[in-house]
Amino acid sequence: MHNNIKIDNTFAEAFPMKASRLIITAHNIKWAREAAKAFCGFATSVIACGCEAGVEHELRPDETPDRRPGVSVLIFSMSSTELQKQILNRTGQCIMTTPTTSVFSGNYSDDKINLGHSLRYFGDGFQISKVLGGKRYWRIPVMDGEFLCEEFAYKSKAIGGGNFLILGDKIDHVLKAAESAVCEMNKLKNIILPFPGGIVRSGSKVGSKYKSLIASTNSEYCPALKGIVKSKLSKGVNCVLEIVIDGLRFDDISNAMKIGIKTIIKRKFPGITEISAGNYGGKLGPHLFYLKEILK
Amino acid sequence: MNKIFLETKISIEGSLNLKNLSQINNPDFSIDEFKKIKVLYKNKQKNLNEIFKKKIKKSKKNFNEIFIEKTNSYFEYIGYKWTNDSIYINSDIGSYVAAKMESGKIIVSGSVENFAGAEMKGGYLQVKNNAGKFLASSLPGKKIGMTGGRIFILGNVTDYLCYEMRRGLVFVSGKSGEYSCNNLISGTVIIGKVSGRNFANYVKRGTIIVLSRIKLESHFTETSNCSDSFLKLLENHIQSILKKRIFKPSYIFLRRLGDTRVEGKGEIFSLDF
Repeated sequence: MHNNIKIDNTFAEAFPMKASRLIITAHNIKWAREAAKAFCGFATSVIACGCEAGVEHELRPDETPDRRPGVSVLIFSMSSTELQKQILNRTGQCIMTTPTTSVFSGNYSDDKINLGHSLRYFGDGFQISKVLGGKRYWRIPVMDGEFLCEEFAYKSKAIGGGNFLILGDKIDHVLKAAESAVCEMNKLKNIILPFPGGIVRSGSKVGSKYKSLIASTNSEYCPALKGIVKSKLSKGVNCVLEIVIDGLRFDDISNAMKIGIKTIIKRKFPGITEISAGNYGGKLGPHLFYLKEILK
Repeated sequence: MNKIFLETKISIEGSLNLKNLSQINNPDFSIDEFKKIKVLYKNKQKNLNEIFKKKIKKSKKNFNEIFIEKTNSYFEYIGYKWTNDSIYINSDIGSYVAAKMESGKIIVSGSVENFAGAEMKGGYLQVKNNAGKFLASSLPGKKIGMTGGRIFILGNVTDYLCYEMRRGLVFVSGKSGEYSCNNLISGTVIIGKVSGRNFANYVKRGTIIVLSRIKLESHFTETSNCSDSFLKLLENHIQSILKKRIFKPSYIFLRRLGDTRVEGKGEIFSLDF
């Protein structure tokens, strides 16, 4: 027990993913945020979105390649092919379309993903290539001037699906605790919380009674099903929210979970009774985050 | 690798062709072979150790560094087809420095003569004083100029700057002479001021930025500005090398496209009147 909150002797189970970081800049932070918001839209879960994406952090003008305000976004997917497709489509439809934006790669590796290399054709032959410092950039003419785009993004190994569950007596209390944890976790680099506001209420289990579904509701943690299924919820628990974390490295996720859980413990939110984690008995992924070890 | 210090034994009073000094770039090159390198002095073949006294120190870097002292404008072809290693020259040198250079770095504390960086393919050349004619251009009788790399001239240059240049980045802090940027195929050229006539004739593509006001002939069309993202990216890149900002906040650029005589899509930025 930590401040009357029980920490379950369990683990979060995460799986290998591919990730890439993009730096979006714009004339002012408003438009960089708008582009990032559009880019990260409908990217909560690989179950149906093809990717998971989120804003990593905002960047001051002195931190971006073109000295304009910017936003760093991370995008994760299960395969390289899907990641390539999602980045290209989302950059073309969400970043290039946003006024004043430019896009640059924010990580480097040997595995390239076409960015400007493919998007340049939108310039219909009027695109201009520039090589600076060994990197090629494409200047694509658009109606507000030019869309500047680095030729390649880069993919690297990453981990998706780190998580913990916050169990409490009612939604007000659990939501407040979860929001507080998200607020602290959002300050960290190399991770994103892909769900809306960083919180997910519809945690899932693998499979379903319906053959066509690959995932269905996490019935063990649904308070409304207590009594009719084998529930993991004790008597006073009437609400569960989950925070899912995707990160570039094991330690990034582990640290984010630690900070999130410790925030909840330290701030002594009323009604919070237990912290647990989602796992599938080790069937889904090789990365296991044991709650008790994380909090040591 | 090694730090090699070269100092002339004799007073150099005629053309000294140092093309073969680039043999040192070969990864199999043994430092014992150094004295056997043949150079041409006044059109006569000599061993390098007849011209230079050398001092060699071991270095932890994975490339060789060569320091050449007491040079003058007779020293030619330094860094010809140069790769990987670095050369530091503390005085003036002659023509063809960094011609056909592929990679590595050459820093000249004095001035250079003609054809510096001609047909350069990669690497970095910095000249702290002035440069002569045909900087970053094609070599005599050839039609392809610089195709990659970066050249930074912190003084002035004379005529035929970037003639037939294809790719790469050239920065000239001071003035350029006549026929600058003629027949530019592509690449990026930044010039402090254009003082000569016949500027940017027959430009096909590429970007020329002049940090002063210029009058252009009618074969350039005034157009709207591009986004400031590219100019800021470029400035950021140059600032990372020169450690100073090249665009003042008050700068407003006028952008023109041409040369219309060759259906060119080259762009020229200059300060607005």
